[in-house]
Amino acid sequence: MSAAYDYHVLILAPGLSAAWFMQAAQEYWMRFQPLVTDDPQFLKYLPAGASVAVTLLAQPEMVERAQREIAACRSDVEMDIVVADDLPTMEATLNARARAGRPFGERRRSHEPT
Amino acid sequence: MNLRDYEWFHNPRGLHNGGPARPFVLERYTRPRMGWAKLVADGDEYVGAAAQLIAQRCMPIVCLHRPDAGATPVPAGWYDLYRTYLEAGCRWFELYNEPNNPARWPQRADGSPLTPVDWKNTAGCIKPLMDNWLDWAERLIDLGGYPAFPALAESDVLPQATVYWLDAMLRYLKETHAERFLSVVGSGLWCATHPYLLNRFYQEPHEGPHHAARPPYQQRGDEAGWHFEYPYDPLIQSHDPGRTVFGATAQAPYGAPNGLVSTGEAFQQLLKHHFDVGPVPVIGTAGGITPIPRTDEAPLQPDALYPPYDHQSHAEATLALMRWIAVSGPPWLFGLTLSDEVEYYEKQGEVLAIRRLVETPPTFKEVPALETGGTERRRPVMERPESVPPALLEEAGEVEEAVPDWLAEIEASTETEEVAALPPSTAPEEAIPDWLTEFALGVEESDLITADEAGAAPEEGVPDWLAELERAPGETLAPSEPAEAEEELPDWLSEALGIEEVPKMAPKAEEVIPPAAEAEEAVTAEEVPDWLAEIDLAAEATPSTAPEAVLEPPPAPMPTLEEEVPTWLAEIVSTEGAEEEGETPEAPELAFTEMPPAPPEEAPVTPAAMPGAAPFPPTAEPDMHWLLMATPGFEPRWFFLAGGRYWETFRPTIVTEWSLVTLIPADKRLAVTILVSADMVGLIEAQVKDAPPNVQVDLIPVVSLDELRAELDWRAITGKRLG
Repeated sequence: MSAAYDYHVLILAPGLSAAWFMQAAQEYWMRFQPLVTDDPQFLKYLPAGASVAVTLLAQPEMVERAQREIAACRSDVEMDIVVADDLPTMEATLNARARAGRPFGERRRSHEPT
Repeated sequence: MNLRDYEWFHNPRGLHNGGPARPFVLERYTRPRMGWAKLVADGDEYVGAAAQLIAQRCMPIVCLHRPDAGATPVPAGWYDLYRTYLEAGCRWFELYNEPNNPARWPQRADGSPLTPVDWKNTAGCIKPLMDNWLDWAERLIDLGGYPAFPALAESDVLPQATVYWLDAMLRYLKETHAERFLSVVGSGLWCATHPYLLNRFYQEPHEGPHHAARPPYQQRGDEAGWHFEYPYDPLIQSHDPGRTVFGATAQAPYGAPNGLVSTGEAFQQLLKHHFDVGPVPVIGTAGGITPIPRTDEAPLQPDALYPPYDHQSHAEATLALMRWIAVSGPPWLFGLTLSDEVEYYEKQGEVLAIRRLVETPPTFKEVPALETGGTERRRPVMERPESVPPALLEEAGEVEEAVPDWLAEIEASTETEEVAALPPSTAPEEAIPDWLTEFALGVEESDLITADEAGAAPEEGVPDWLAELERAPGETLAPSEPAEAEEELPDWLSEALGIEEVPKMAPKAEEVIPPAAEAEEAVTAEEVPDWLAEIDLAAEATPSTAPEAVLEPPPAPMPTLEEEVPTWLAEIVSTEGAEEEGETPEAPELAFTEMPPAPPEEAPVTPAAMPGAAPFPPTAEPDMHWLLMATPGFEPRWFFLAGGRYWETFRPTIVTEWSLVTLIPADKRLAVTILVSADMVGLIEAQVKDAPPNVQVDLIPVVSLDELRAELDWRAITGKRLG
């Protein structure tokens, strides 16, 4: 898990098939081993006061909805949004992060507009 | 029998007639120099036609017609008809037509089948189908004919999924009529398929790369670079790495049968798995590139991953397809009868494809001396009618004879001293084509074993015949690798050609798709070219060691996947994320939707029962489900290799620490599936023995990647997330 945060959670936005994790995020997970879920409700169970980073994988049309869902579950997360139209692009982006050792890109609070 | 024993004219071109009781026009077969003629007949109306065809070196395939036959037994009177056709020189016969298609079964008034047409319906479908087919096959052999294993419709819709049906049929034969079936295998069995290719083919640009496709207006049937080996071609592998005929990817969960060789390959692998025999001949007795576009019609593109085709490129591709079968196709693929006379000659007149075949001599196929295996049922000695000409290969002249690629490579490799002297350790990393390494999901190049090691490893990523496809030098598929200059024959392939015992790729799951086949018996270079190459991408990784991650040929089909229509690409180019690395691909837009899984037939080994079970019954669905795989000794990559279907189905939250269970309130039922190396079970049990009452521990001791996949796939298929 990312050392900068108590919890690093990888969340798949609605509509993404399992391949977006099993294939596109495989190297990323092997490198950083975040918690992985497609249900933002999971965030509710993380301790209050803990620092939580969420890496959101989403296609463009689902970003806003996913952000709302995450914010509804927990408002204090640091958002790291990875947007891609297609799986190969997502995979390339995440693989690059894995190679570079950079788990996060641009981060923002979940309630902030994209 | 040996593949060379089967009587045919070694010309893979073929045409399917327009149906029973139609006027027969011989020239429709002879002008384009067809080598096969599929004759669907009501009775003996085509006996004369069969004799004419044979005299013109076109071998008939006879299928007596019954609408909605389902699995009904053969009428007794048909055997007299078979004798009549046999006496005319026919040898190849089919029974049943696409029994996995509900429309082929007796119907109710409302158009629905009387029997649920589903591979799971053993009593209603599989049993009567195979019982009656086997009776017919034995009697046909006794008469002197070659019986076809029934052609199935190409389907990836679960109840009709082709690979599921093949497995169910062969499994039933193994369990019920093994000895009888083996005698059929050894006495003339062949497999009929219906390869409707859609647009799943392409031709590379002149300089490559292999995964790129020429636009239709640049395709040339008499030029090289064609790919008909779906789903193993570089193009689809670049989009969906690891896809096999059995599917095994999220995009093709129930198999990938829509290709020229797909169903045949699945049959051969299942035959090998269930009976350790094969190969047997495969003939496409319906199909081709369909529909045929009109001359004024816009190009058709059923699969947006592949280029479209128009009337002109359809002709070029059809010509190329027939040559590809002869030169580059698997040795057991004997041809294809294009569907059908009406489409090629009547609907829009004679189509361009026929004209291209007329003006281009056929390419004849040389068949290696491969034994089919099985036992031999005594066959009658069939006298060849006087009108039947001698084997076509004995005659030279206008016909084009091509040395098969696999044979050319053998000949080339035996002339190269450097190949023989090449140290094995230098082979894989620089020599294995990049498109092939793409099969290895997440496998590092350093994980790839050498050709020498491959001799001991049972796993392969691609069918053996595919390894022999002559590969043009040029750019590779790997996104991060720039185009390469021309290379000689890959060292690993050259070396592998001299290895006698070669493993054969096969899927792994026991239940629906069989485990890896045993190595084929050696064939010597003197008798037959060793076209079987070793493509062992990895040995099975051990949990406690670092990467010798394994590419496992995906086993069980996955849930049906409907693909939206993406755009096809000529080439994959860079993306922003990979720019630092140099060249990277720009991937096409792809979208995938998910479909539910399907049940299998047998249960794999269930994992050990775990202490600390929750107070709610194991069968109750938990409120939350986690999967813990960061356990000592367990290689997490195995989950990525084996757990796709499981995760697709259940979507457990992936956690990395057991201690997180304490975060869950006591009123929430939490199930935790724990993947643990079998030798670490005791350690994990000690850690979880004091699990809270609301936590159910579901421990999966992992011995091998195969077993892990089998267990997880079984759970996905049966809908039971917990053991």
